[in-house]
Amino acid sequence: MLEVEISELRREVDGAIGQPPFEDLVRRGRARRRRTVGLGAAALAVVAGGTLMGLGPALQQGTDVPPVERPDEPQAPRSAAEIIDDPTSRLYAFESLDDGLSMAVWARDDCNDAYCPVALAWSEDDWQTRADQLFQDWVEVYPLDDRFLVYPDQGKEFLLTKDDGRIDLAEPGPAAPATDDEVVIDVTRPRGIAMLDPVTGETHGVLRPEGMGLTWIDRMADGRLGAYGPRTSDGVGIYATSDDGGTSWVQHEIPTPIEGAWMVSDGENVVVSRYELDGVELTISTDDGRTWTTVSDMPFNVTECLDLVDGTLMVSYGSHLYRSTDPGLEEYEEVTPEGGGSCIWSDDGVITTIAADRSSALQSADLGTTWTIVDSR
Amino acid sequence: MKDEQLLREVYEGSYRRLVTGLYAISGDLTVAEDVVQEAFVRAISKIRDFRKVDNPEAWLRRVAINIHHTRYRRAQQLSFLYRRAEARPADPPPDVGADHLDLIDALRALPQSQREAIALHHFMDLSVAEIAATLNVPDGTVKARLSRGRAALAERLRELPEEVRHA
Repeated sequence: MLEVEISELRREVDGAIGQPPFEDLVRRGRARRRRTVGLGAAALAVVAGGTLMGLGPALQQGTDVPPVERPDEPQAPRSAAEIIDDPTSRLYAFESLDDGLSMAVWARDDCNDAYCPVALAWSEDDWQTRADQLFQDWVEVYPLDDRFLVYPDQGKEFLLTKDDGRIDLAEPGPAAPATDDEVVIDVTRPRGIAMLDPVTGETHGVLRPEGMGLTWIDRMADGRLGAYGPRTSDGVGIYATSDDGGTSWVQHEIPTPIEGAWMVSDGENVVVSRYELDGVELTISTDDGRTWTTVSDMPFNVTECLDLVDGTLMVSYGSHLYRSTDPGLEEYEEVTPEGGGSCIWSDDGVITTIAADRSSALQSADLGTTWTIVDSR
Repeated sequence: MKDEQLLREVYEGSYRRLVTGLYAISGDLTVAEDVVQEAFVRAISKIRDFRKVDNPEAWLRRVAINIHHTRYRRAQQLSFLYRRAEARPADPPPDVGADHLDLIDALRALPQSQREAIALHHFMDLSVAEIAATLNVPDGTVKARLSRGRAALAERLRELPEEVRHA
């Protein structure tokens, strides 16, 4: 049925599309090209100390071009330089990486007291030569959706990894890193991870596990660091723990492919949830990664978020929430609050979710048995 | 001129497909047409760079998606953000697809990442590998997003009682 509806919608959309003459776009493109030449010459002039010598023709060409009139165009994104210079922009991280990739992470200005969407951009060129460019001209801009929100009150944050020359985002949800008192901006370096405290600005270095890429790192309830990622030599999934701040790591292989998998660990119970097109497979350890069991045929087809709360696995699927005190036995109980819930996260045993219609936040202190609306702004 | 002629051929051959895919992502035909046209404008404005591109349609697709992110995501985000229900702006009525309002609503309700994967696969006929390259994520992530997106769409359509479902 879904395929049929999609096919019908495609036909309807195709019939409604208006295609302007190509010449219209050519005119706009040529005008912008001329204007860009002018602006580039002006920037070069500034860099050269303000002299316009030799740049007159180019500038003249630029100033002769009337601005392209696009009255319905939204306000252009602020430039990276503007965001960095703006003390209210809450820039969390700004890095020029060794291999020429430059990136910036900032909290957007549509934060409220509880939630703050985060955006990420990076450039393939050297940052310093591109700082005056708009983000929309960068290679990638990832305004992160609601599942990537930073929750200052709950200490939720996100993880950026750079593995095998690539920057990637860890999947969101409780499997993303969580710490009690610091927002962690993790950019893996050739030798480690930088943690940035947004309040003090202090950075904390952590050596990453030898021979591992990272998709997840967390400071667990017992104070140890937990990490999850592929072994770079063969791609086998590795769960690693460190009790000395990342100087040394104990590594355990995980008997499940790592692609598309999320992990959550409380230092004793470790759950890897992996999705395939035909459903969910959980790989579970109850002895901190030493031994594993794999179960499938879950009562949910997908898991949006995972969290371990006092040894109980909490799972969100669509607008439904489940819990299991023994996930290896496939015993799950639905604990969805009235009106449905979305992604879940916990702090000190209190579980929080957002109502399915996003009109309110709900919390439970008894593993989902009862829920209380804590805010309905 | 030769480069622009090449781009004209790409425009004739891929414009509608790109707009259809961006429609599935944005839920708004006007937005979809705007971002796709803007992608072509950028290609023209950087024609010397564009002619070095191996796969022009893939480049345009990626640029169009990025433009959509930067231009329109904030407005969409506001409607998703946690806030007073009464203050939340309502989704605009669809400008096309009146016979498929349930599907359009279900697409709009998907997280952006899943909606993009669904759009690229089901509306633009891209393979998992092509989607992975477009979105710069691993194949497994694409599979997961497709799986989750399809499950969420199916569940949402299934949850609607027959009598309130649109035609």
